[in-house]
Amino acid sequence: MLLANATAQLGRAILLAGFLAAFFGAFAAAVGARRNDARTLRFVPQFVVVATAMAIGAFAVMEWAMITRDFSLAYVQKVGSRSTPALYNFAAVWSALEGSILMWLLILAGYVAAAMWWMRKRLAEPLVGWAMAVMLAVLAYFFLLSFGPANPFVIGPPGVIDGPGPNPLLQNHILVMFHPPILYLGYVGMTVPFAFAIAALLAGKVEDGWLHLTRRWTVAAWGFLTFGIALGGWWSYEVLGWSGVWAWDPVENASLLPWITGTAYIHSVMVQERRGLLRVWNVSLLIATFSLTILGTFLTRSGVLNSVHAFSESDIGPWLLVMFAVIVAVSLVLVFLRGDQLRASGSIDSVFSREGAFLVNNVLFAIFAFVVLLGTVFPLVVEAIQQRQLVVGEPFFDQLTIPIGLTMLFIMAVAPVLPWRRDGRERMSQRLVVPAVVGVAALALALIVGASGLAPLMAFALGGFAGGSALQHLARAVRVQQLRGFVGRANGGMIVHVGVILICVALAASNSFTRSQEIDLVTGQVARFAGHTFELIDVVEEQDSRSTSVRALVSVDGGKPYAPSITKFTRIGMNVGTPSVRTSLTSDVYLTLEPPVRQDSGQARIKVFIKPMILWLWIGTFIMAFGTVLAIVPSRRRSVHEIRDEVVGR
Amino acid sequence: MKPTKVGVLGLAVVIAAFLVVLVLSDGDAGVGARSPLLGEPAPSVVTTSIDDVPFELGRRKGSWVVFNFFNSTCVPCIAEHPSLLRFAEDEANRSDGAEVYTIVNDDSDGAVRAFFAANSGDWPKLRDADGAIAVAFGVAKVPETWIIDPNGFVRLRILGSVVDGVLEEQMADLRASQGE
Amino acid sequence: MTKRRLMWALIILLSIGMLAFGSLRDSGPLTQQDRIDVITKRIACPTCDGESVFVSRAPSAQSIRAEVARQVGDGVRTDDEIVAYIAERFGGEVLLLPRATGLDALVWILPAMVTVVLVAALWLAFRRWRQPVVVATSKRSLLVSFAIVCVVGLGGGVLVARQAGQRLPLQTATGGIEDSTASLLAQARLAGPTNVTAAIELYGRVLETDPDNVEAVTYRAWLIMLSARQFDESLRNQAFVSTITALGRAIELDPTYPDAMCFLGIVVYRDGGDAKSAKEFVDRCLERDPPAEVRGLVEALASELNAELGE
Repeated sequence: MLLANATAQLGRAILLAGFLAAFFGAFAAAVGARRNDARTLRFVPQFVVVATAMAIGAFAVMEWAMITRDFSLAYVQKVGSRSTPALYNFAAVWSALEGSILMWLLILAGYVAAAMWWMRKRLAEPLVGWAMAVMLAVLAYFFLLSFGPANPFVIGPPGVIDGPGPNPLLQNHILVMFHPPILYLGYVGMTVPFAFAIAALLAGKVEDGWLHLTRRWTVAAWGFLTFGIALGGWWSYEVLGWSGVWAWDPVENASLLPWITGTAYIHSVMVQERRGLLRVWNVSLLIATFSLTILGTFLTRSGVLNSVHAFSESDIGPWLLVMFAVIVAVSLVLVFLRGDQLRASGSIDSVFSREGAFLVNNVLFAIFAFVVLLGTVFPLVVEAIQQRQLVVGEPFFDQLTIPIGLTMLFIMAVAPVLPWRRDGRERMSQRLVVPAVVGVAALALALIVGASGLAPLMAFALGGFAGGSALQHLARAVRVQQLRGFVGRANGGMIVHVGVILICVALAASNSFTRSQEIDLVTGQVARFAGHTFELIDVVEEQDSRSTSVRALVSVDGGKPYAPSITKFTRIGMNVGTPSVRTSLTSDVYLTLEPPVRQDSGQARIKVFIKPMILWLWIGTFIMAFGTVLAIVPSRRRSVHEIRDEVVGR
Repeated sequence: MKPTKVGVLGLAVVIAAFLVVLVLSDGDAGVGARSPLLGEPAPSVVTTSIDDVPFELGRRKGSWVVFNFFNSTCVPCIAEHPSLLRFAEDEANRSDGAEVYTIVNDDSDGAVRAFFAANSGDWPKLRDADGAIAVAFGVAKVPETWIIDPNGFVRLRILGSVVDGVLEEQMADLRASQGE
Repeated sequence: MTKRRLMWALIILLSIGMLAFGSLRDSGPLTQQDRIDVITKRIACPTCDGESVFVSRAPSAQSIRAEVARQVGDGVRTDDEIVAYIAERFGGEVLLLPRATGLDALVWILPAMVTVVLVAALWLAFRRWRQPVVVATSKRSLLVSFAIVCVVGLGGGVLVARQAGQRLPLQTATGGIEDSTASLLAQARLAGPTNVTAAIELYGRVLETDPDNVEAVTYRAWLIMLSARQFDESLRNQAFVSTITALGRAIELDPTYPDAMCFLGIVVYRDGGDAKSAKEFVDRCLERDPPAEVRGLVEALASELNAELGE
């Protein structure tokens, strides 16, 4: 018996060892930091090394089980299949709950180890000690989750020799399988700044030293989160086949929430670095970001939000809820006790100063986060009070977030020209002329192309305004610093802004000016829609053991055929439509095959979407990623404040 | 008190309330057979059977009518078929027996014919082009079983497979309440 | 300086002008497909988690799309009415846009309140920073301003909810539905066994708007005959003649309708005493597969008739 399930036993033993290492590591770090005892703190790295090794080990064992198709494990029975291609099979490990917690564990351990390596010379400091304690405590909890409610090493019923494989929707494109790890790199990365924020509160070391320590970690994690969310949008567009990138469903919202508070933090932290203000607010934003990742995981993994899947196989929900409650409670108590020490004496004199603009920006982000959170959890509130089901969907979010987004674009245009510390109205009227002209030009261009409607036109005008402002900033920076003018937080940040603006404009265009039509095609006949021609060449049916798929070969404008398809997974009872897209800089032609599917009839019903500017979403994403990298690269100029902190900190 | 402390306390109260809500909502809202149509006159149904016999629900007033929304590839539909057969047989032997109809959802006449040839069941199978009947009743997912009383009012909706004996029991309850 | 001012004035005027032109200009009529897309985006697929019918590929979403397409094609109902139709069948949980009434309105009101409160707090903070000396505002005035902020927020929220929330026209409709044929027939059916007079009147009301409604013609005639049986001969005869005529008309309107045929058989025998004709009617009725209640009445009669004719 022992031998027969060696894999499962090994996996569990590793998880237990990892938990113990992380737990005692956290304990040692906390004791050491509390007593300011460098000798105790010196043990911490050993615990970290063991815990990290155990996390890697557990993941490796799971991979090994998956690769060798060890169907004695319940998890392999659930997501494994002999017919899954090797790469998808590798990625299948994180395609369901238990494996995704394992992946979370692995990434978290990686972050903890990296943070320790990076702080290796300063481990004796209480601040770092407390931070390690917090990180290790979180790590220990995730080991516990993986050992307890989400254990992937459970032995399944005997006699199973093959499984269904991962969800068919996840097998369409390999990038999809790497969407979760990238998103997790973002989620989990927020643990590091959170740990330092809590450590600063615990250590009573409320100067801003920890901010500089964690700034790059935060920006990097934020970058991964951004990229992960964008990848999700791309997947939704290219694979799901409903022609949109974002549907405001709870799972998406759960990833957006920490992104919003994280973005707010990245902006408002500059006020603290520059002026020493907003300390409580910044700590709160970090706490909010981290607890929202946990809340999001709870909402999406426990099954509370999707009544259809109410019978969730795992009881991880309460565990995550407890974690959320503890994090929030501890943080609130700390802020309550130490908040007054954090208060700064300075003041913001004018709304029309840089710090004023950041404050307004943060208020907007707070409203944005509130709207998304409210819309996401409102069904739960109604259910708790009135025992009835309710859905809050896309139209709600669209109506409330569009005005917020437009205001943000406006702030984005104005803020970069504002000076620190003083009223910048005069500067605004000087330096915003060029951006404003760009905005007017963008508006005029949109009108010439035929756009209409207030919201999209405002998006174009404000997008031009903000874009002009960002480019103007970059142009000035390059004039002064040459190539270095692209590097550093402010300059890299402006490049990120350009990406964001492109995405906003592309979203406005594609959401407002999509044209669509269902067309019944007959072989040999040319159908026309929106200036394009569509000709059905053939309808092909393919069948394998799991599914039947029908693809319609459609030639667009007489060119090469595109093949939208529908795959019917008979065993799972699921229809999966796969679109086919012709992409260009100005607009996409997006084809989906619609039911009823009639084989051998020489007929097919397709739906055509003409969607403008979609490509610019992806271009904007890459510009954002590029700008994020540039923002992490240190710029040569450092503020006196920064240098002073480093000197004092030592 | 300092504004920070007031803020923290206020936030704590809000978050505590929020946690209570999260704990209360376990996601199991009882996907029970609720429908806005229960106790209301049934939607009008005019269609033909797969043997091209016309059918109109309004003409069946005076009988209990059982609609079973069905698809020959859906596993729970196949699973519930024996229970449905037994129920239909019992009902056929009563003077006030309910009339059972299958409403074909997203399936071809041929597949349905083949299924009933193989599994028996000689009640009428009604076509539902484009799922109009399913939408009129608010059918979420086949199989669903609906009971309409002799006055033409919707009385019961059962989601998913009918378990052996459930339909009989429900019919008895409904008949008793109708007699009052 | 003045040159720059002029420039700004020009920019602002130009953009306002262009925005006004762009938002007012006619972007062409909505095509049917556009309407279908707009409507299906407002309805949640009943079997998926929060996905709209527009997005979902589930079979139930397909059926709803088809139904919406059909109703848009008919061109009788407005968008709101079509959404209401679907919500009436599937329940309120398929509405993706929260309603502007009841508890649901909170989802609209709270964001507006939070916005107003935050903006007010920001304003207060800036005021304090600018004039730290005057900060000594009394607690009372603080409370008053907080109350004012809340009231403004609430008012704004209610406005937002009114503006943006789900409207369901049929919920507020008066009378229209209750007076529909289907509803009157259902009421008549319910009244039938206990309150014959009321049922007759209800069937009569159906016939006022829909004179060729076979069910109403048939059952009205049948109930009149039933109630006339307790009165004297002359009234019975009168009722007999009118009932026969009405049932004949019903059969003429819809020869496949079993109920009329059965009732005719019953009335011809019980009130007219003509067993031979009754037998013919009853046989035809049974051929047409009458519903259980009617069959029960007729089967008893059939054996009686067989016995009498067999003699």
